[in-house]
Amino acid sequence: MDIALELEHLSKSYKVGWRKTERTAVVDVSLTVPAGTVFGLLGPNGAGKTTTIKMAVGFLHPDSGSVHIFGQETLDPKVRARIGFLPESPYFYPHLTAGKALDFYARLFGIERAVRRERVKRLLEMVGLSDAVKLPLNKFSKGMLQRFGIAQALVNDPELLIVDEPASGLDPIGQVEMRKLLNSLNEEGKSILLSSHYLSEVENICHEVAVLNKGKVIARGKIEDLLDTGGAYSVMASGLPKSWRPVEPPARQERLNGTVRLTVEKKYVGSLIANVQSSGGLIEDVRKVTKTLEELFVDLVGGDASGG
Amino acid sequence: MAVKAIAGNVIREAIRQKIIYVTVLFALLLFAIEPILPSFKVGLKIQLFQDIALGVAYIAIAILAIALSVNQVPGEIEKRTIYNVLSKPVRRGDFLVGKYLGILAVLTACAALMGIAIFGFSFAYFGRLSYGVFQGMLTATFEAALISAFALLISTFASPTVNVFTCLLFYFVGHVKNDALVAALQGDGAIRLVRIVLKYFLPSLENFNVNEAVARGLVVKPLFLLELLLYAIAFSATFLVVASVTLRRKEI
Repeated sequence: MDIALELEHLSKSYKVGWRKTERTAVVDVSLTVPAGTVFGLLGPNGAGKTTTIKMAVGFLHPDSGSVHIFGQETLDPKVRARIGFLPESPYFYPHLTAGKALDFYARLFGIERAVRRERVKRLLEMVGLSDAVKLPLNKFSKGMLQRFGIAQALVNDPELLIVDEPASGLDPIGQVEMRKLLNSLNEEGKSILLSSHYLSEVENICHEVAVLNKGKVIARGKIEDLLDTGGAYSVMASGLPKSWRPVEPPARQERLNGTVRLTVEKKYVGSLIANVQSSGGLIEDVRKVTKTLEELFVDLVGGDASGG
Repeated sequence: MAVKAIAGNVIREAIRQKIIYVTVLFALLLFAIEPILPSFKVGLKIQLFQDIALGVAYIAIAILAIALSVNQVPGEIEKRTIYNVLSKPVRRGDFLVGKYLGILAVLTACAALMGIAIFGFSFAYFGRLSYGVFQGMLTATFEAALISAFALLISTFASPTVNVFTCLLFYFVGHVKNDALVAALQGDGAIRLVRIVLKYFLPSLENFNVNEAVARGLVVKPLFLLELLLYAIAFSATFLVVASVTLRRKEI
């Protein structure tokens, strides 16, 4: 599979204050975004997500490590022609209208006038801003600016989209729309690197995630693998007497309004079902037990998260 | 196309800045009232009018060059608009050249407007068609272009406030600099460094001042204008190349 973005052993520190105290922002971050996938960067505030993204786009120079986009150096203009970038809380030239601003960004790619005209119209329609084409950007709400930001990131029809907190400041409906938009872009074949601390956004869109905390990758992998609890199953049964106990010892047993939830290892599932049925009970549901992303995040970061 | 787009955007931004209108209108007002001031009623003529008017225009265009240039890079970084530009296939050098060309276009337009005004008032008050005024405004534009390139260079690493003071110092020293001053700086260490900077790295801005000749009705030779143009291009290009290298190394 082709690699859209590859970060290898990136480290970055800043010197802050009068005494030039060194503050480590990112330590030995490596990750790979396969082409056509959505990769999520998760982490609390100050975890190093934006620093990592800024190094990926070439705004910050890593102290060590390398960045390759489609196998090439990130500062190469030919590479930049293949990416779209939405910064966190994007800012634009305020007096430009949406139409003119988008046309300006398209001109930076050398796109011909006729193509620009068609693309500006199509993109503004796609992000639901076609009515605001003649409205100056300083009259836009936060949500409209965020949607405009996506439009400008797509103006070159990029193969790789790098988006930093795309749902930041959006209302719940806006967040759902943004999620749908990113999903549809991925379905079109675009690779996406998404930085977010909205867990539902990441869980619903991303194929793989890396969790950052204090500048380090503390977990990485496919979401289903990360959420896997190691082979435990949950069996829901009803119609069992209160005194009923399973023959095989389940790990956990909970009673809820006449329903019993039994959590057992995979090897006990068959015998447990037979046990329930022989006792006159009805099997309501059997499923593999997984964590939620929220549980995983709290487990990984927990009280260790630090702002900044 | 990126350079052109960035230059166009600078022009759009510039025409919203009040300082341009205030400076140009102030200059135009001075041109208009200058001949009716009491001092002009005692026999001072067109030469004095043009000398003063061109002097005002020189200063006005230099002020505009500084005002338009000092905040181009820091402003983009502070407002974070630079992210949406430099994430596109735009080299940092192209970004600066685009900014520079946009500023140059605005300065040229302002210089042309002031030149037309001085020409018009010269004809209205004194009945003379003084085409030399445009030569004066041309050299003022060359000087402003050079100042603008210097301001853009400083803007890649200094705040606008520091940049304004640096540019004013550059303007002042550039005008008082002459061979005698450089020769007078004898000594080692810091003095030697100042002498080298003055001699080789600081342009003599006074070269661009042709006001007196123009006011006297003398014709500035095209070859001299060409020399001034090349002088301005050489220094501006050097400043922009250094600015480009500085901006490339800058983290944003």
